Parts: sequence; C-alpha cells; structure tokens
Amino acid sequence: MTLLNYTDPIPLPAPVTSGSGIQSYTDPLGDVWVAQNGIAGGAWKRARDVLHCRVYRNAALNLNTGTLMQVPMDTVYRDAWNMSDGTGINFLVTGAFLIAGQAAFTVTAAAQFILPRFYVGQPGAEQQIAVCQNYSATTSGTISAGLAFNHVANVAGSHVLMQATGSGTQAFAVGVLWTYLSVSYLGTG
Amino acid sequence: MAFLNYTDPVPTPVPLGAAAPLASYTDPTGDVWVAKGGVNSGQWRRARDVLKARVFRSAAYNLPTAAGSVMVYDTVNKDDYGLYTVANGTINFLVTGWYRIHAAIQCGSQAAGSYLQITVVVAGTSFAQDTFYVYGTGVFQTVRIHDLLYFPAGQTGTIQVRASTAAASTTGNLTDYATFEYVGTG
Repeated sequence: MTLLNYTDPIPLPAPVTSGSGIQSYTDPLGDVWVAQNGIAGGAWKRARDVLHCRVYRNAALNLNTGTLMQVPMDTVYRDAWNMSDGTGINFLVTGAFLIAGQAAFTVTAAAQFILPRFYVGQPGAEQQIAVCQNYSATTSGTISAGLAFNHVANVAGSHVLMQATGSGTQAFAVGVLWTYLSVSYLGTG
Repeated sequence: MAFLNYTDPVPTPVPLGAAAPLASYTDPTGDVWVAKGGVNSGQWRRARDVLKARVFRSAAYNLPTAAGSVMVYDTVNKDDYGLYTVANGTINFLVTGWYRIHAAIQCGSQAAGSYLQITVVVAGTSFAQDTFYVYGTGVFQTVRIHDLLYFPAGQTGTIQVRASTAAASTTGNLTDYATFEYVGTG
C-alpha cells in the first residue's frame, strides 16, 4: 500500500520525459490529468486547469462569395499544451469543452453578411455543430459574428475549426481582436 | 512525515484575518487556492471554484459615442472576491491565469445604419469586439462578447462600449451583464 503524504497527496505516474504527444491519467477521484514530454518538465497537471487555448487569424484572408471556406487560425495567443494545429484547436482528450470564437469582415456595401460555422470531429471528418451570422446596414465599418457553446468530444483525435461564408469577397478583419477561436476543457462529461 | 486524513486532505495555510487582502497558494498538486479576509471566514478555496463573478447594469445609462468609454455594470449578482469594481467598471484579474469573459449590452430602437459596439480592453489592447449595425427601426440592438484570455495577477481591464448616436441602454439583469471566471493556470 502506498501511504499518502503532504507532498504527494495524489499519487500520479512518473513525469513524462520521453516520447511525444499528450498522455492522460484518471486518478481514483475521477479527475483527469495530462502530461507531455517537454511541457512543465513532463509533470502531470489537472486537465481542467491547463487545457485552455486561444488562437486567432493574423494573415490576410478574403471571403469567398457564398461558399464556405476554412478560416485557418494561424497565430497563437496562448497555447502552453500544443492544442493548436494551425487550422483549429485539438481537444487532446475526450470530454466536455467550452468553445468560443468569432469572425469579422470589412464592409464595402450595405446588406453584406458574414456567417461563421464551427465544425468538430477528426480531421477530414468534421461535422458542423454551431453557426452564427451578422449583417451590415452600412457601407463601411467592421462586422463580427461570434458565439460560445459547449461540446462533448467523445472521439479521440477530434478538433474544432471554423469555416465562414459571406455575401462577397470582402476581407476578413484579422488579428487578436477580430477573428479568433478558443477552447477550454471542462470535465469528463 | 505528516499523514493525510479525510478532514484535511490538502493542507492549506491558516485562514486569513478579517481585513486581509486576497492571497493565493499553489498546493502540491498544482491547484491554485485563494483566501480573503471576510470571505468564507478567510478560509482557502480553490480558485477555479470561487473566482467567478456576474454583474449587470441597473441604473439608467446613455451609451456614449466616444471611443474608450468604460461600461460600468453597477450591480453585483455575485462577486465574493472582487473580480469587478462596480464603482468604476474595472475588471480585476486576481491571480495569474486564464479568464473566461462574457459581456453584453442592449439598447432600444435607433435609426437604420447606426451601430452599437462592445470591446474588452486590457492594458491598452483591445481583445474581443462585437459591433451591431441596425438594419431597420424598431429593432433592439444587442452586442455580446465571449472570450478566453490570459493575464498576470494584478492586471486590470475594462469593458468599453460606444454607439454611433447617443442612445439609452435597455439596462437590467436580462440584457446588460458581464461575467468573469478564472478557469486555470494554463
């Protein structure tokens, strides 16, 4: 029997100091822990505490009239656990997640719109799960559409990405302020 | 070596006195705990569990046209640890880590083409912004932001709002609110 002590109240596996990719462990209380070689010295951390990521679109991009197109999130705001895959955000573990994001574009005429859709699933097999939309009533300015929602990822290797369509080929408003995506792990679900 | 027991499985520092400011402590498992004099008798609580706040605008409010105008949500639903200062609209990031922020405002009908805008601003940087343009009279306008942001302890921020023409906010718990939540160390 392993005796508990104050410096190691929850016995965890040894730190992960070799290999690649995330490893997870469920302790006797049901908490999920994660560890990865090269992150925090390979130490085990509570998934709820550390699996958070925010990315955004920084490079110029234009809408494609009436056709859904991917909005690759090419820049990391913060991502200590390598959840970003350059397009969207990997969930890394199965469970419940809070997803939030928005997309924006520069208006050139009245009655233009943007319609971001959020897709989840394994790469190449994503399915749409949420949508939002906003219209312009002016001939200039920036229009954004975004939302936040919960999702239970029950397939390993899943991620979330954003696609968008609009009424023309207007430029996305890019940068940390305008077009972004974030994910937080909430629990096992 | 001290052994754990069921009544004190994670030994935390002694409770704080009544006037003590907020303090934090990271336990051997990596969990961040906080305590503050006068809150829960100064006992230590997990930060992820208790650093949550919801506020809303109660008093009549005219949305300003000037950029950089701070939205002051003047009434607290719940904010035990002081994540938000209702006197001046300051968001207080009490410990280092990730924060989930939601905020919304609404105003009544305006002329077509007018707009309403809401932004999270921290240390001079705008992070999340939503703008709504009216496409017909008789339409209530609502703008909302949902974001996940990381800040060091002691950082402060604001929710800023503006409208293209001065307009009365709807006000109230239903439409003009903000929530702030610490979600982890990242």
